[in-house]
Amino acid sequence: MWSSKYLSKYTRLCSVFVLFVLFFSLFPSPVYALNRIGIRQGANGGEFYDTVTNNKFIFRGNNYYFDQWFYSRTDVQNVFTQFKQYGYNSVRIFINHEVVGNPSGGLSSQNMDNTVDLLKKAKANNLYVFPVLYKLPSTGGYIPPDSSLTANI
Amino acid sequence: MSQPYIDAKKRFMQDFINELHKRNAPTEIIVGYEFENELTFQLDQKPLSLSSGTIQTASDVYDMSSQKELAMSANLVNWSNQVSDAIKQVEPTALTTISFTSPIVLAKQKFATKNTQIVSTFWIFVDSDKGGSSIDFVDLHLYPAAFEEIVPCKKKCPEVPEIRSVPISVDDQMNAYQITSNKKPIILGEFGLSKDNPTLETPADFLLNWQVSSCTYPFQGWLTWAWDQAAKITNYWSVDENDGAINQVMAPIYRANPCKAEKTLPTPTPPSLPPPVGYLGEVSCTIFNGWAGDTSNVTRSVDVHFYADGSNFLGMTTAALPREKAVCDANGSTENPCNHGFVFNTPVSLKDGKSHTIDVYAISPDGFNPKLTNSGKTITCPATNPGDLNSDGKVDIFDYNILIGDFGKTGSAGFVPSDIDNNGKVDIFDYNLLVSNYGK
Repeated sequence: MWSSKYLSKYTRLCSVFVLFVLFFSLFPSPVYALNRIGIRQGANGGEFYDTVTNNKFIFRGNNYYFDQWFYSRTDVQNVFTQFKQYGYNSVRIFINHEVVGNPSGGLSSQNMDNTVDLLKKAKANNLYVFPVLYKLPSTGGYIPPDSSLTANI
Repeated sequence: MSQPYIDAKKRFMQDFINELHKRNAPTEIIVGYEFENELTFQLDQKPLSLSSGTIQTASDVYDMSSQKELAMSANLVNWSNQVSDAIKQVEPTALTTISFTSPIVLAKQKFATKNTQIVSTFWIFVDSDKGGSSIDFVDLHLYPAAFEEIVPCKKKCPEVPEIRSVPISVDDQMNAYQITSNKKPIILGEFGLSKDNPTLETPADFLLNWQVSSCTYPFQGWLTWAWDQAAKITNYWSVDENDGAINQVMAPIYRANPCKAEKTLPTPTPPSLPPPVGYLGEVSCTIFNGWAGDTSNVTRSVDVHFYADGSNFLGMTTAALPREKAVCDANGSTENPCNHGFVFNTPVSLKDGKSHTIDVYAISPDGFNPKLTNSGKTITCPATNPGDLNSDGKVDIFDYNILIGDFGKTGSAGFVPSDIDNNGKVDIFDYNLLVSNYGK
């Protein structure tokens, strides 16, 4: 049988463990890749910077319409490869509200898979992405029942 | 911007981001989520068309005879803060933004939509210290534009007034924003040239000067409208047309400093690495095989992507199986055997009794993605029961045993016959497909 001395030590260890678990449950680590570009105040006001290298970041890129009805991995790969070759570092894309929703509810799994594929190809070509989600999906149950509520204040 | 609309937008943004996280998307490359493009109000629609009475909005109650501007501003701040907060609840390090087109273009451009405007108190987007929106940065869109005005006459005026076109410059457009704070970065998220907007210069030179003149303002980035299709759809000059004329003045390899008109000298040519090479061999109702490699890096294995009938993506695999000397020689490899072969199981989706054309592409991280030689073969495979994994004409215990043996395995789409639904894993969905066809 353990002596009270060992029991006390065991209790302290347990307490530390419980506190450790409690700490990480209160402050869970993020389950996504942290966004690399941050904002700070520079000599001329707000500026973007690379949070890993601490270097100021200026975006040079293009708007690119990727076909979400007939997504082509090859087309996206070819375009992004050219962007990289020409020295661009960013691309702005539109998430098509007609395609992103799932008529059965929520978002289209296929469209999300394609979007992730695009992001992976952008990463492989050192491109940062500005996704534009400009309208509520036409399907998926996102439009409020009274559509007049969506307009104007 | 009623609360139900705000809630819907919050839910959409959160669902979208959560779906990215579920798929382990590389969110580190996302600069910021833009949740509204070229925000405007419609003055000829309710409630802004009302000139009296009060309205209940998501932020407060407003008198429409005297508080329209306040109603717009306060609701914009309330809406954008709620959506921005919702985004950060699921991705705390994300940045958020909204884009705008210049108020003066909306007000004066000859083909502008009537009765459209953004708030005149634009400061609410750039100055959160004064109670403005909490979005992290602002995306402005500046397009060359013009408005028409009657030429003033002093003595004898013509019967038909003379009309002249007055360009709206970068300065005109920026002054209209009345930006009062530089704490938030701004980007020029769209700039381009409409083909309806004739200029004395070439489109490329015009846009070059347009970009340089924007450098009077503290822009932290420039994105052209647009690379290809988006520009063509909207009748704008695309960056890649005319042998890439606009690209040759916009691309950083040609002009390193976006604020200087001088091109980088000597003009570098884009790197032209030898494309991958490869050959599509057998295309049957059982397998596709062949080889692919990269002559610029003979030890590297390249991915190959399979398509049916043009755009129907079937799946991918890596060409890394051992192949004989002839293949190694064609790829420039001194090894023998060399790891450039591939085998891909014919997907069940093609087994429908119809003819299908098969194209295979080699995917290179450095260059273009050519079709393999001999692509374009056609096959017609008899329709089979989903679940007939051993192709013996019936779904029975032998198919069941194959699937159970493969259960839990993952790979490229259709990597084994047990991946009946071609989702890259043998799982409960494949099991259900087999069971539902059992005995057929």
